[in-house]
Amino acid sequence: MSRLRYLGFVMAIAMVLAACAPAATPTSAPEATAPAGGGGGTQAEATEAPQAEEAKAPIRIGLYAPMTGPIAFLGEGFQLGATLAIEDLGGEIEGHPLELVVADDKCNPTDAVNAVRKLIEVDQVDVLLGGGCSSATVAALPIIAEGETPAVSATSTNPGIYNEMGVGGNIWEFRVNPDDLIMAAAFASFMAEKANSIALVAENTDFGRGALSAYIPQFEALGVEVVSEDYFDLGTADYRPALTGIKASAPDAVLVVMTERDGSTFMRQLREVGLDVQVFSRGSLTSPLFLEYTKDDPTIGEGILEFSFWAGGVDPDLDQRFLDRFDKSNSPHRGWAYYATRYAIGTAIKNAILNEGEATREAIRNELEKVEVEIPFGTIKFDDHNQSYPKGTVSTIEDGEVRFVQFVELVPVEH
Amino acid sequence: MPLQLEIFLEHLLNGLTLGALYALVTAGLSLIFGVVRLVNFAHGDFFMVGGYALFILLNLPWGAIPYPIIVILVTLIVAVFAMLIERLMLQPVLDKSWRIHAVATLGISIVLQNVALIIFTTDPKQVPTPFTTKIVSLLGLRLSVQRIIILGIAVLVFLALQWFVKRTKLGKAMRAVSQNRDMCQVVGIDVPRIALITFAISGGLAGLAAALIAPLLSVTPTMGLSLTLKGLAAVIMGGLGQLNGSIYAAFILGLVESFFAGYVSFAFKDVVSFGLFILVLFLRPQGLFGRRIGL
Repeated sequence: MSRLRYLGFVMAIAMVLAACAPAATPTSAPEATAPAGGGGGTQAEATEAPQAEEAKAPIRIGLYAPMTGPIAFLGEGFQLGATLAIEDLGGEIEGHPLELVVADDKCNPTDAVNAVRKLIEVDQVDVLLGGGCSSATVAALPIIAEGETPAVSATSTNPGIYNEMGVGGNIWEFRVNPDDLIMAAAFASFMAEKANSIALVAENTDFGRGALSAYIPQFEALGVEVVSEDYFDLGTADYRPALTGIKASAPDAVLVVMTERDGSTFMRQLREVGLDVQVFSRGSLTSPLFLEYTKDDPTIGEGILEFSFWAGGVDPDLDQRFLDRFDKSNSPHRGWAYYATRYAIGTAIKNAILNEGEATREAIRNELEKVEVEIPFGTIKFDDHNQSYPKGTVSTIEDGEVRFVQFVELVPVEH
Repeated sequence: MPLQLEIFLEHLLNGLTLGALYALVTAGLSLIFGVVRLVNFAHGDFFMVGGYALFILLNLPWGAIPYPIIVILVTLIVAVFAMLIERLMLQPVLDKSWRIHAVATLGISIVLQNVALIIFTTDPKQVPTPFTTKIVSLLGLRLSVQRIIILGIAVLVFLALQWFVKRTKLGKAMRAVSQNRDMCQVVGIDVPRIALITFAISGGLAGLAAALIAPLLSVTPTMGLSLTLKGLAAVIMGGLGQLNGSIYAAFILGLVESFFAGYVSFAFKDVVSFGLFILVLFLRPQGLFGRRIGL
């Protein structure tokens, strides 16, 4: 065997090892069926009450989200949100028990396709929630259309999804959260009031790239100079080279698009290099989980201004119920996303049963189109692209605590 | 100091600390290959075991142990762990072909990652030390004390390894085994014992690296993966089995990444470092510092 062949084999194995990395071991219950009678009882408990009168067919709700991998904490929060939403609906709608089926999309396109196909074909769910990440949702769109199953996304912010939904061709996909183009129109103005020049740092994913592609034209239109644009892989160890480059450009502010795990490392190193600028965030840096990751130095996140939706702090009663129910400090922040789908899906399922006699996939989809419901974040009502426009939120970290600052009205924009 | 000079020096400093980080991981990989002729794909997982050992020792219910003692304990724990892995799983296949070595270490790596997932879940564990937020500032350059410790210890480790393999009886035996295993057996050198000690040193280096580096990151089951890839690239760039060469290559990688990320593109820094690795393979297949196999 030649030495070169050997070296080639070594690196090939190394690449295989890299590809195998996010191993598929669950943190919670990736394939679990989580029926939701009040208080989170067993499947048997959930179906016992209706059986007393007349056994009605269960309505199965499928959630695809990252339950394993580097951002499994997102999926866990989403599952808690969907679980509490079903519990708050009493575990049933019009006598039909609700069942939650969870599949792991690992936040990547390949696994998302497999997870959604399984939920539609094997688990025979009536409606889908998810995905947790834009990459997963984008990949799942054709499977959802092919499977003719209504799906509601509450966290995917990639602007490209808008043009696919509704009159864009995929009549089955709905989105209750705003995308980055919608948010950028409002939040870029907010940032332009505080900064004349800005450095952009985002994770190298559909989420990160989608967000920056939405913000850059807005900054150009507003006359805010973009001094740098950097992307990083998830789990990056050392941001100092990028931060030193940003320091050399001396911007007024930095906009970071990332979640807590990478964000906490990034912010530590930002403080380390002494970059004394306003930090804006699109992701989740003003969350209890971020505070937990930086608890050794609570000043690390001080003053970050986060632009988001479904932020904790808007409905303190619900936040408290999340904490009482799940005993997880991050549950309100993460849980809100798929708790919010309750308003759209719960209403649509109920109306499907009342108006059409049965909550078939098609009936639920038809009723989703007509939904108009008030929630603490404004109104959920879908336009002809199946896009809803709840209010955006601004939150910050002040004295080591997450504080809700204000709502921002979001309106339709050209896509 | 002019701003451009300050920025240049900061990139230089970043490159050196990044190189030190790679060098601590690379040294163990290179040592194992040099002596035992085994590419240890589980080396990054030894690093991960060290990360979790650090997490446990920093969060003991009866109070914290001083960090310097924790560093020593983590180093010892991973050294013993590596010895156990060698004795229980790798020793029986050490005289087999490199293909079996690759599959065995790959299997160990996957098992260790999954065991860590089951025990600790995917939640990243934070392991800050008193030195991670302590900043030293000199002529406008700012660096955490933790990074200075990493840089200093990497240099000390480099010098200590030089002394060990060149001056001590055990080091000489390791060099002998690396050059001619069969002849060593003929002259009475206990080759299996040398292999075991090499694994202990390599594991200890991975543990030391984890105890020093993990406070700057977070501890996850896959935390060792990217470092292993960079470490392997450095080992091959430096010349397979060339301990000094691989450490030089680790620093070269760190510097190239830092300057490229700072002046050109952060997103493509890995493309450049692995591109450099491929270029070296084309121009000098034996590695930058490789002349022959052996320490």
